[in-house]
Amino acid sequence: MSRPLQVQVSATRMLTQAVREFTFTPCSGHLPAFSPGSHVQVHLPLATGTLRNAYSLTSDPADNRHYRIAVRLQEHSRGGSRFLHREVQVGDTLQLSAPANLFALHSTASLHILIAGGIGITPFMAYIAALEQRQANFELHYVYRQGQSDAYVDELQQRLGTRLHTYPQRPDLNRILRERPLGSHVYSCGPQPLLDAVRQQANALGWPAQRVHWEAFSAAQPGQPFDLNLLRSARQLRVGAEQSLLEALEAAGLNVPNLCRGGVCGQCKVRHSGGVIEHRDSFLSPAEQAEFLMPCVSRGHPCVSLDL
Amino acid sequence: MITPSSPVLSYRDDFSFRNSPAAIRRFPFPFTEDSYLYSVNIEPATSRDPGSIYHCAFDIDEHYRSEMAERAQVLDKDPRRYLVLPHMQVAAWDALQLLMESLAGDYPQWFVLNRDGERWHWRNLLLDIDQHFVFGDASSLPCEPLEFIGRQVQGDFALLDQRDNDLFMDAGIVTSPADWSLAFDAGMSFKQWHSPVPMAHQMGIFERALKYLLNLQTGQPVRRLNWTLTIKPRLDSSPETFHEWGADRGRITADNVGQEVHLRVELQVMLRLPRSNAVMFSIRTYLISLQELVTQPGWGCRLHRVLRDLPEPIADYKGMTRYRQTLVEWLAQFDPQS
Amino acid sequence: MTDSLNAALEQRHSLPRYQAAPLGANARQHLVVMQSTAASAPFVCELEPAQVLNAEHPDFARRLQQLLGSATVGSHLYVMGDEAFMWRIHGLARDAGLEEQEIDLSHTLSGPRQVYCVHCGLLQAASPTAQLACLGCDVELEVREHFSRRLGAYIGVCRNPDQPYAGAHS
Repeated sequence: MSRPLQVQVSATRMLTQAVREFTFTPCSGHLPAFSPGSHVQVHLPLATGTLRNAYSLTSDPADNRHYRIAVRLQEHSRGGSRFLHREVQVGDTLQLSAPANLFALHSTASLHILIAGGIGITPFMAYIAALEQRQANFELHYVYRQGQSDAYVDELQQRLGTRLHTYPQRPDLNRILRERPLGSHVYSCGPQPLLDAVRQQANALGWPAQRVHWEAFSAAQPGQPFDLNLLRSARQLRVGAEQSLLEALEAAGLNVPNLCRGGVCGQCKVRHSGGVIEHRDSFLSPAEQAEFLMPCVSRGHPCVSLDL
Repeated sequence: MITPSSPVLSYRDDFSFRNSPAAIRRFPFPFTEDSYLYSVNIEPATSRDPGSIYHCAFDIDEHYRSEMAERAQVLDKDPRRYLVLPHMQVAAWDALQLLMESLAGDYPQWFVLNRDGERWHWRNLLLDIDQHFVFGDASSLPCEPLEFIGRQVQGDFALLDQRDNDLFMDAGIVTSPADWSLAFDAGMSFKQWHSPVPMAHQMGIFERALKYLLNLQTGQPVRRLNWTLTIKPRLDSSPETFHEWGADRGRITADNVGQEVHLRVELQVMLRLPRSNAVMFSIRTYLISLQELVTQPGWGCRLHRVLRDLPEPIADYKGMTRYRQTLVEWLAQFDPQS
Repeated sequence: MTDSLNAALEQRHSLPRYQAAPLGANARQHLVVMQSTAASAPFVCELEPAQVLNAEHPDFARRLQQLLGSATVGSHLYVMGDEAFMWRIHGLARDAGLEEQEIDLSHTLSGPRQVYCVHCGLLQAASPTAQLACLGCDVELEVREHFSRRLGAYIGVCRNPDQPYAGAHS
């Protein structure tokens, strides 16, 4: 895995009362280029241990001078967003993992239909910059709560005009998806119920799965502390209540490959062999879960044995 | 040591191509054991061994001017060797950027890149090219971006579009293939374009390789070696010209093996292109005649054993059926055990 | 089938796969294009609702253009006929924006297939036999078990480089 990037917070602003935008510039050298839909992991040095949260890059991929992310404050979480909202100031330095893309544009689509719910707007900010440059056909459907989760709406209205459709509550997805020209693809990002509804409606209208893309924002949730037994390295570790299993491994110097931090992408898969596992991922099948777990979100008790 | 006045040798007609002793020493002999078996033999493409082919991201060697002259000849005679499907424009510019940055970074004495926003200035002192252009605007270049940079770097390039959990060969510049056709394979998925390779499919090789490549991350290139044999130092051993060179395989005798038969090794590098999310697949070909090869200790012996024991389907696929026996018999003299 | 035949077919990943019956696509509109009345597959009557085009009709080209131009996502295309016909329609359908998964081909007529001569680039109709002389450059071609969906053709490569041309007899 590549070395983390050192960045400086060069600007911050509140986009809504709950969403704070950060602009990062490199401490030295250049920021790596990225494709629209990419995310970075921000390493957050909390008192209880380092958390890593994944955030979509909202900035224009063609502008390599800075990265931008927008963070919604989550009250019931492990404290990562709270840290970003309350502790991080302009001038601070942070570590980021290099961009990775689990939500890329479909290059042969002739119409990109983007459906964003609340903070799910973030990857689409990078999308529209790239789509405009490529002179591609697209439209953006943005459902948000006025003043709360309507980040970027003014900017979008100016830039997109009639290509932007806004909704105060979930729109009629049937109307958005029916009778679309061949070559259309739909992308959705936001709360899980919205993603499920888009998939359901697309399916009902006969859309094949290959035309339907989505990104779920999921992250580790807190739980009970538990013990870890690493079989191959003969080590015992403790996973704290606010810490994910993956973060406990990282704190101990073990680097398991990982990308999404949310149990979706399958990268951090590890074999387990002891303990009662609490699977919280959306990647493994039940049969696979008998043998493997995703340490970025899953937990266990009283002591979980891992093939590491 | 390459200079702008280095002689241009040929890979056709009189086949004047030769390796210097330095080139022979740095040749990537691919066999680590006495037998050859398929594997997903991929390793991180990290820089190592200064002076070796692994030191720089895209290796420029003493044959640079010869190879670029050969590429120009192939493209001028047959434009089908270059193809970029319409949706691959972003990937093509991505590739141009990556190659220009690599060459200027690794070989500043020959390649210079200056940038002011989207206004770029590129100089190639080996080929006497001085080009101002606007990044992203193909009309500001004498030809499309992949062709423009492809005519200045050794090796073939394929750009693979990643979609539907698969890779599609949707662009490329391929003038030195070991018997595959970009014009025909363009648009195919990973398993489709590997369709002709014997035995590997049942072994699950391509399943694993595809999964690995789908997961490539920017800044983390990987590489592997591939090998075959070629008669004469012919870079363009394409299906397109097979009717011209195929008969050479029937003309190998015990007397001419050493000078006619060449080991052909491909250094394949795979990497994620950052802005398009496409995968670049570069194929850098190194040729060595057997008479040059056997000057290196141990190589003749090892090659003898590999070729002697190679499974027949693989030997057939690599095109050596007609002369394999003559070749193995000739190589036996370098094997103490035979 | 024997193990070796299984193995042989397993590695021919590029070869086309034809359907005798629809795979149960989740489509809302069914588009049927047949080369002729004789080419119709039995399952056509099960497809409801369906728009059906027959290439024997004099106005076929325009109707096909209209069909593909007005089709929307949620459509599934079924093509029936010989190989050359099916892949020609497949190409037009892809150009119109249909994905591979939205197109089923049923090989219901024997007839020519397309071969791509790798030497001169000519796409030409050919019989199912494994050999032909290229109409463009006269090289005697071996038609290989390697297929391009983009071109809708099999690859033809010089069969005997010692005597590449069909016309030569010495």
